[in-house]
Amino acid sequence: MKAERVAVREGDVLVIDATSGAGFGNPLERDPHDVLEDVLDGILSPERARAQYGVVIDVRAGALDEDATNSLRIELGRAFATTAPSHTPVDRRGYELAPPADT
Amino acid sequence: VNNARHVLGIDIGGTFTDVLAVEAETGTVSVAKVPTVPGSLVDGIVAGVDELGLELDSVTRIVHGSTTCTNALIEGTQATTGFIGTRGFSDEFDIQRMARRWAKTPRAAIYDLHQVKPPPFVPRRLRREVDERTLFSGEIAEPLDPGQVEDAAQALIARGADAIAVCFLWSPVNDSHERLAKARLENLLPSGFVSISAEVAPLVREYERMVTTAVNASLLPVLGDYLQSVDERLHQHGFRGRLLLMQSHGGVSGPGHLRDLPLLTLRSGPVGGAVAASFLARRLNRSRVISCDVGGTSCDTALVLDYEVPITDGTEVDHYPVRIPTADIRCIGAGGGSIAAIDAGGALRIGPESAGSSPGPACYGRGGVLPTLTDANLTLGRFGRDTLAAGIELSTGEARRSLERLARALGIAVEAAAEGIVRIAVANMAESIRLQTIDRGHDPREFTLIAFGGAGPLHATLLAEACSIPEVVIPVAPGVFSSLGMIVADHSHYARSSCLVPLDDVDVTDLERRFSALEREAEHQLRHDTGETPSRLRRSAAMRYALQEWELPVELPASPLQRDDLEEIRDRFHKAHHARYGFSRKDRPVELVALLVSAAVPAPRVAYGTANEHGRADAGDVSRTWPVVVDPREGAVEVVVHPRERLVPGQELHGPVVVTEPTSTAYVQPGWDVVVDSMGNLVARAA
Repeated sequence: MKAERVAVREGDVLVIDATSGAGFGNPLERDPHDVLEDVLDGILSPERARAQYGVVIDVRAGALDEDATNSLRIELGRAFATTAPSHTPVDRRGYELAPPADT
Repeated sequence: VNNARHVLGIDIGGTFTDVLAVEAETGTVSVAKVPTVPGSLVDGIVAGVDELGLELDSVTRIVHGSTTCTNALIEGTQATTGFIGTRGFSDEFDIQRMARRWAKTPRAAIYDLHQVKPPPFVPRRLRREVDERTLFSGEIAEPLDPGQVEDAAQALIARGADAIAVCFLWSPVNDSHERLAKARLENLLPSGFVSISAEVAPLVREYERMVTTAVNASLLPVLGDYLQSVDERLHQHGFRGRLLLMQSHGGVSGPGHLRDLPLLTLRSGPVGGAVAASFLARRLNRSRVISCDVGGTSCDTALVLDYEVPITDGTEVDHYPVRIPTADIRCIGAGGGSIAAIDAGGALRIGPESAGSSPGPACYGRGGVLPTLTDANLTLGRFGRDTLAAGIELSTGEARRSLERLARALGIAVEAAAEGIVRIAVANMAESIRLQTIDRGHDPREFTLIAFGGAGPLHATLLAEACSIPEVVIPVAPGVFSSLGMIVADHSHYARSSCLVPLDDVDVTDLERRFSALEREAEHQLRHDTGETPSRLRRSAAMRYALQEWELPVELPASPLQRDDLEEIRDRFHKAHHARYGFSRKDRPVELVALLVSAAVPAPRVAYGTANEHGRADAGDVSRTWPVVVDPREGAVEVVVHPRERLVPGQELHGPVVVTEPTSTAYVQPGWDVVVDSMGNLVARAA
């Protein structure tokens, strides 16, 4: 949003829609257990987990279906390779460097 | 076997359980230090009583500080807790506060680009929201549907919640929705472990209020189980007296009240020492005292002003805010076990890491190789090498070896490294005291330092000199002095309420009504606990200038309020603001934020210090000398060493001098003169 000093009068409604934080790297490589945690915490739906992260969750048991996840990820990985042929692996190292030792 | 009636003060630490018994009639004091039994703290109590040769059926009162709840939070063994809150607000558990502070040291935090906030106290999957809204005025904008609360609770129970916390917006002004929710939940939850913020912390600032309520709920089964097992075990051993617990604010309570508010015990560990110091301050007639308790891992300092430890309205446990009345004690990681190391910039640092009791300092000979503050003092000859409790043999060879690596890296002699370690540790402690005194407008030159804990008397005069404190008092048996605080503490309860009103708009009758209601609440708890009517009621208010964010506590007149009292209240706030910040703004409007009442019954009188068994003068002078490094440039010199039990009241000593006793060693540096007073205290003054 690029707006400064918006006058708000009585009765006005100010709505701000923010996206969640940007992702980093290939969603198919995210640890499925982390994806499960997000689903359990309600910040990711089981449908999105399946479609975008290739993670299959048994909603009733609140558990990961590892076999189904593995085969889905292989399938989605192939599809991804054809739609994004120039994809190069992201170098996460710079981002994930350990914080400097406390001095 | 001694069958006289006794009261016991028990301080259960991570390593040792200290038991201090006072014979009710004569005031004779006896002490035992036994290993703490993790997981079964009551075994330590029973062992200590055995060691003293007492029978539990002759004990009329046991007061103890329990670390059960603190340990549960640190170890993560509290109950799985669900949370129900106002729609749209429960993610505050994740958002927390904006301040950058989650680094190893608060100073590093603002530069730390990688800071990670602590995980939410209640994970999102265990949080549910319901439609309801109370406005800041207390008006209900959207009524609560109790059916939604029940559905939310069912979902949380299905996810494994054993306890449930409820916190709604603006419940400090109108708590009807929380009370309605509680009534429904108590029927629903088999355990009955339900906490609502109106009963735990009825104060503004909802993030802190949410967390405090959830912390309390999570501890309900923890303290309940503990009290039951202690009760059963003590009963089996014949105990028929009263069991009391220390609370974070320094007053004791019976178990009943704490079963509903277990979080009141969270800071009961360090407070015993400060209460003991306030007791001694009164005996010695010192109205401005700094209590300094240096143990194995930490240095806990507190001011004692007019014989009382000031109370704050909150603390933090394992990074989570807990808003309960808490004695104002500052803890830093500087104790006998603090480890000395060279940091990335080549400078010598002490702590906050501690060798603890296992492996302990290198000189314990239990496998520790890292040099600690104790190793440094032992190498300097300041530490009584044959006087440590619990049968630990000290090895000067191991102490020296641990320091050699460090001294080599620094390119200095071992003695110089040892002295440097002591100096830096003392500088850290002195900084902590300055933050409590100079930083808040108190002049340390007007204070007396009461130093205790196993390692306090070793550093007392060094610390006093660093802070320009002219007088030091070292009590008898300093290593178990904290447990004296348990015995002499008042029985007290607090009641609080939020009251956001500009002082100009206050209706005196209404304010008086609010205070009386709080007094009735505190009195009721106290009478329920003790069967007695409080002999002391106190009122205070949290106040601020309009548009200020933070409030200051202001003591108010205890008598029923009259119209003119509002000006007195305003005046007291200006004065408090001036004392704290160095200025006041008499032209600015003032507002009330919260009201606080305390009700207290004093502890039964203890004849502590009157039966002085010290000073068997007939035994003659048994002092000896041993080599002590006073100044590393001069090497070791022969210094007089006195066993404490042979000192006589009135006896004078001159630093440098070492005084040894079973729980501690005192080192008095040059330039300080000591007089033994009639209670056996060492009173040192800068010459």
